[in-house]
Amino acid sequence: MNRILQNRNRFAPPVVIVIAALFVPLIITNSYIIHLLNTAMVYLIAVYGLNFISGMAGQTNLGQAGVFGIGAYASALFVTRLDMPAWLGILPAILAGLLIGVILGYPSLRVKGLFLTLTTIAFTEIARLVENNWQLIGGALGVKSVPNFFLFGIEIKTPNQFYYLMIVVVVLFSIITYRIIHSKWGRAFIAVRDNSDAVPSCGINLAQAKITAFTWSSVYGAIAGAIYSQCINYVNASSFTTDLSILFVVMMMFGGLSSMYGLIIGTVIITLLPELLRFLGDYYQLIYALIVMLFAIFLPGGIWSIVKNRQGKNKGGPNHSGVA
Amino acid sequence: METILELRGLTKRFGNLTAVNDLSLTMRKRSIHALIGPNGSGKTTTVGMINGTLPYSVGNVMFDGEDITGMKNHTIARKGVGRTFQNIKLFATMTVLENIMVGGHTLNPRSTNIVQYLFRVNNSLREETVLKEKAEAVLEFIGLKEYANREVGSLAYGLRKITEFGRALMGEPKLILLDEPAAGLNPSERVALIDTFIKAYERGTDFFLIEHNMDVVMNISTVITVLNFGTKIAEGTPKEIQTNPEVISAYLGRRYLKEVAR
Repeated sequence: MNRILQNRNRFAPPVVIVIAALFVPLIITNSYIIHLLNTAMVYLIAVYGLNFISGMAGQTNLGQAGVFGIGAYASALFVTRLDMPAWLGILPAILAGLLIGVILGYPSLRVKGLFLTLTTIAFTEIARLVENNWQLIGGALGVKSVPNFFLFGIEIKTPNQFYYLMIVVVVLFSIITYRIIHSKWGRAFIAVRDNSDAVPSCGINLAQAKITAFTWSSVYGAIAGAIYSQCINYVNASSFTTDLSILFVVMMMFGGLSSMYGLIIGTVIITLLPELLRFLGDYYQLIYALIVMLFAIFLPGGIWSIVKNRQGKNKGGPNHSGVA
Repeated sequence: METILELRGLTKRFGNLTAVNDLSLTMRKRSIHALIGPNGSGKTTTVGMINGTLPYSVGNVMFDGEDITGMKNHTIARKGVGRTFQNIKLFATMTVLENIMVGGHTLNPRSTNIVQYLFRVNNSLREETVLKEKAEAVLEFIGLKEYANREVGSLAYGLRKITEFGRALMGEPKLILLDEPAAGLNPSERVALIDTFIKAYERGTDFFLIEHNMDVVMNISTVITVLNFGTKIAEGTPKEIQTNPEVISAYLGRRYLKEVAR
């Protein structure tokens, strides 16, 4: 009985959130805002992924934009050049994510220190330059007219249709992510962050754990990129800069590291922030940077940490390692 | 008598300094073997070589009849060598229960990778439940059941030491290497920790112990090996070691030899 009640507590908020999300397009009729929310949901998948390696395993990864871009290119080229149905474009993206995880993760995670941070920054830049200059894949023009998803014979073309598709995708990814966070691998990732010296003595292969976290991060990032290419029907290297990598990190930190609610809050707010601050005109960048900085200084645990601390005080009880 | 651990001519040099010099020792099954010696005599280095954290070029380590020389740290842990650390190394943001569960990461894996885990839902839920129940049993055994859901960061030092020991126990090791377990504990915490060791020993786990605190060493060890400047100078039962002239001079200096003998 107790267990059922506990489970209800745990599963009620997500259900409420999803139901509320279903009504959003009925209330907000501005299709640009819906498009921004769609982008936020695409980004959320990349941020979920980033959370495995950076939030949980504590290895700073500034290459998520590079991965995102390669996923977008792999999918867009596959679909347009080979004339494949759009949803099949997810497959080359997954493959690209796996390859990046192993090829980039293996050398840079077997050693301690900042190597991953450095190699991932370089990786993003190299990927962007290659995408921008390689005429065979479109060069500076990018890949145009990426076709839309078709679902049961219906073309997903309006922002509202895409919104509902993304709700389904995000729910799916949220379930997978939740299950990984609460598995023995999730605990192993956090163990790597908390005290990597003690990890091998628990029988866990430290390098393997980091590479696993990084590979999952890359696969998520590449899938997000693939979906992004369908979302805007167009892929261009100039979108996949280190700035975007940093944006992903900010989204992850802003809401709250390694808590799923925190990741959702952070991603949505940071994606909408340019719109909310539009009235500032030229001062936008300045104010945006200030807000992010103030949050980093005064609320390092992210927005979600306020809620969590209050819960912790009221219940005085179990606190699941900062993982909601 | 069968041996659980055997070191053959282990040598470790850091540049010109020889930290451990040609160390050989045999540890029997069903024993608590202590390695003692003054500061800098090479005790922690020896533990590092046994469990694979420190590479060495000379010598061999045999564990339970198998040559584990040169194996990786996590491989040796999986073979049944657990350890605790001199300065507690716990996972600070996790609860006590979760810390213990990490110790059982490689126990009877039903799913060996995440993809399997995700697709075989029933299997993985059962695996998670089994792991949790086992961790709860370990907590019960070490007497920390009431702290299960506390974050380890909020625990007193002594309880953290016991938690770390519980994490080592969770992996069902045949042998646990204890690196200065009593350091920093007050007398009552020390008693609680030693009681837990004895309980685990009686249940079948052997211990290889490094310790400064003579009270602890003399009370629980069955055999003691003494190191000085990386070289073995004596070996025997606690009683033999206490009266060994070489040991006394290494610890107290030569001039005390006569006084102690009296």
